[in-house]
Amino acid sequence: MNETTENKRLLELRNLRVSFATYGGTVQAVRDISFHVDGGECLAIVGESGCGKSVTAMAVMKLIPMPPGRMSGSILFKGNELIDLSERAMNRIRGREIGMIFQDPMTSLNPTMTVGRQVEEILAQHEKISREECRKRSLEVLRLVGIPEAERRYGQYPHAFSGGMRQRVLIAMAIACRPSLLIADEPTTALDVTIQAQILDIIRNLQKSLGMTLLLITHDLGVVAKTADRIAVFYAGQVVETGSCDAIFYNPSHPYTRALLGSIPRIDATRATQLSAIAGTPPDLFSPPAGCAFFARCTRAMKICATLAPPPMTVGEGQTASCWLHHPMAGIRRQGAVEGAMPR
Amino acid sequence: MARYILKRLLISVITVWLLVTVVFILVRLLPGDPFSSDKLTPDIRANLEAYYGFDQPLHLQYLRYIGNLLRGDLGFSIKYQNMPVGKVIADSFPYSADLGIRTILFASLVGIGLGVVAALNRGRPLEYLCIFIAIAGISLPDFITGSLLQYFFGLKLGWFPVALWRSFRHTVLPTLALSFYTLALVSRIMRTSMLEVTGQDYVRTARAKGLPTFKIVWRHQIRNAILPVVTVLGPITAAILTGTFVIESIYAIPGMGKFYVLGVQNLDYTIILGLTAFYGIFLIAANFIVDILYGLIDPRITLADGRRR
Ligand SMILES: Nc1ncnc2c1ncn2[C@@H]1O[C@H](COP(=O)(O)OP(=O)(O)OP(=O)(O)O)[C@@H](O)[C@H]1O
Ligand SMILES: [Mg+2]
Repeated sequence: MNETTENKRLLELRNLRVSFATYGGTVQAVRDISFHVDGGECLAIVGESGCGKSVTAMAVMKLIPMPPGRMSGSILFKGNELIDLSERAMNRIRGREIGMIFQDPMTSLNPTMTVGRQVEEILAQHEKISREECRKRSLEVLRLVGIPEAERRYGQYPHAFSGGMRQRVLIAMAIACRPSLLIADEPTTALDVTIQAQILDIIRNLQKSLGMTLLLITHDLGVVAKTADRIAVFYAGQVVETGSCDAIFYNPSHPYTRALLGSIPRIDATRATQLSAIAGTPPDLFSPPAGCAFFARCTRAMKICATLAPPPMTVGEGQTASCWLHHPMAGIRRQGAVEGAMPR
Repeated sequence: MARYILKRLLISVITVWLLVTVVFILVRLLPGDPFSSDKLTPDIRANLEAYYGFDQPLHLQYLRYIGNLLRGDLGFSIKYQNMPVGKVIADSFPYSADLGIRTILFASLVGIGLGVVAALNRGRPLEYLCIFIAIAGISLPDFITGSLLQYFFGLKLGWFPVALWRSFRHTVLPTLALSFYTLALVSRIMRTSMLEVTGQDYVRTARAKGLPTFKIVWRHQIRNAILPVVTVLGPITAAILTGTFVIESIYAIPGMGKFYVLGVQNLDYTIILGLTAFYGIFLIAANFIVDILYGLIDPRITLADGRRR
C-alpha cells in the first residue's frame, strides 16, 4: 500500500463479523460488514436500535468482551491489521490513536476519582511527560472543550458535574492525546436538547481544528445532515447503503434508507402528510434470514429477495446499495414497485 | 462535620444506655440468680444479697448501677471475689484485641485478594477454587477448623505450637482458625462486587483509554468495589476484637470470650452488664469509623448531614 492510499483510508473494515454466545443461542450482532473511513472526513453510521452500531464501534477498539463475543474479518487501521493484535499492542492504539466517546456520560466517569486525575491518566499512559506538564495539558484540554473555571473543577469529582459537563470531560479525555480517529457513539442521546447542540458543536469544531477523522454513530438524521461527509446505513447487523451525505439524502437507493428518511418529522409537512413508521420489526439476530434482511418489511420485495442476500451494488459515484432493485436485470421493476408481494 | 460527630456521639450514648438497660432487665428475668447454690445457707445468702445490694428495690439497684457506670465503675464480679469487672476487661481484652487485629488484617487482605482473583478469572478453575474456599469458610464452624488446624499443623506436622499465646508462632493457628469465616465472607462479597463493577461504563471508559489491566483493576475497579466489604467489616471487627469464646478456649488464650460465656452461665450480673456495655461502645465506635471510611472512599457520600448527593 502506498503512502497516499494509506492516508486516505484511515480505517477500513472488511467482512467484519461479531457474534455473542448467549444462553438463548448465538446473537449475530454484526454480519459481514465492510466500509471505510477516509482521513479527515466524518462518516456517520445510522440505523435503528439494535442494528449493531455500538458493537461495530467497540469492535474497532477491540473492546468486545471475549468470551462471550467472537470476531472475525479484517479491521485495517492506517493499513495495519488490528484483528489479531495483542492486548498490549492494542493498548498503544486505544486512547492514543483512536479516541472514543460513549453514550451515557452519567455513568462513564469513575465516581471515586477526580475529574482532573481521569484526564491526566490517559496522558500519563501514552506520553512521556512530567507531572506538571501532565497537569498543564489536562487543564488545557478541559478548557478546550469549554469547561468553565477548569482549575477549580479540576479537583472535583464527577458527581459535581452535570450531564453536559461530564460529556465535555469525556470528550476532553478522548482527544487528550490527539488521536487521528475519534469514535463518538451517540454522544448526545442522553443529554437535554439544548445541550445536545453545544456538544455537537464542540465535536465538530475539534474535528476541524485538530484535523481528526470522525466516526459518528447516531439516531439523529438532523445531526447527520449537518455533520457527516458520508453515511453508512446499518440494518440488522449489515450495511445496506453507503454514500455521500447528499447522495443518501437526495437519492436514497435502498428501500430501508427511504423508509428511514420518511420517518423524519418535517417542519414544512402539511397536516395531511403522515409521519410514516416502518411497519414490522427487524429480523431475529439469533437466526437471520437467508435472503435480504429487510425482505419482510420491504414494500418493493421481489421473489429473489426471499432466498438470496443482495451484494452491494454501485448506484452512483461512491454510493452503493445492497438491494436487488439495482441489479441490471431488475431495471424494469425499478419504477413500478411490486406492492403486496410481501408475505404477512 | 463537627455537628455531625456531636449528633452521632449523642445517639451513641443513648444507644449504649438503652443496651445496658435492656440487658439489665433481661438478666434479671432469667430464672435463678448468682447465689442459687445448694451449699449456701439462707443466712449467708441474705448477707451476700445485702452486700451486693440485691435486697433493695430493682429501680434503686438500676439507678445505682447507671450512676456507677457514668463514673466508669463497672462494679465487682460476683463469681470471682474481689475482681473488679474493669480489671477483668483490662486483663483479658489485650489478648482478644491482639488476636482480633491479626485476624481482621489477615482476613480482609486475603479475602479481598481472593475475591479480586475470583472475579478476574471468571469461569476458570481459579474462580472455582476461590468459591470453594468461600463456601468452606462460611459453612465450617470455627471449632472444627480450630481443631483441624491444631491437629495437623500442631500435632502431626509440629510446625506451630498447639496452644497458648506467647510468641508469633503461637499466634498463627488461632489467627488462621478465627480468620477463616471472615475471610470467606469478605472474598464472597468482594467477588460479587467486583463482577458488578466490571460491567460498569467507567471501566469501559478506562479500557478505551488504553490502560493496562492492572491499572484498570487497581484504580478503577477495586476502589469502587470495596464499599460493601467495609460495611460488613465494621460489626465483624467489633465482635472479633471483644473476644471469641470457642477459639480462645481451644487455644487456651486468656481473652475476654471466656468471661462472657462464664458470666452468662453463672448469672454473674455485673460481668454480663460490664462486658455488654464495653462491646456496645466498641460496636458503635466501629460503625462510626466505617462511616468515616465511606466518605474517604466514595466522594459522593458526605458526612455533613449523612446526606447523599
Ligand atoms: N455483550 C453482548 N452479549 C450479547 N449480545 C450482545 C452483546 N452486546 C450487544 N449484543 C447484541 O448485539 C446487537 C447489536 O447491539 P448494539 O449495541 O450494537 O446496537 P446499537 O445499534 O448500538 O443500538 P442502539 O441504537 O440501541 O445503541 C443487539 O441485538 C444486542 O442485543
Ligand atoms: Mg448503541
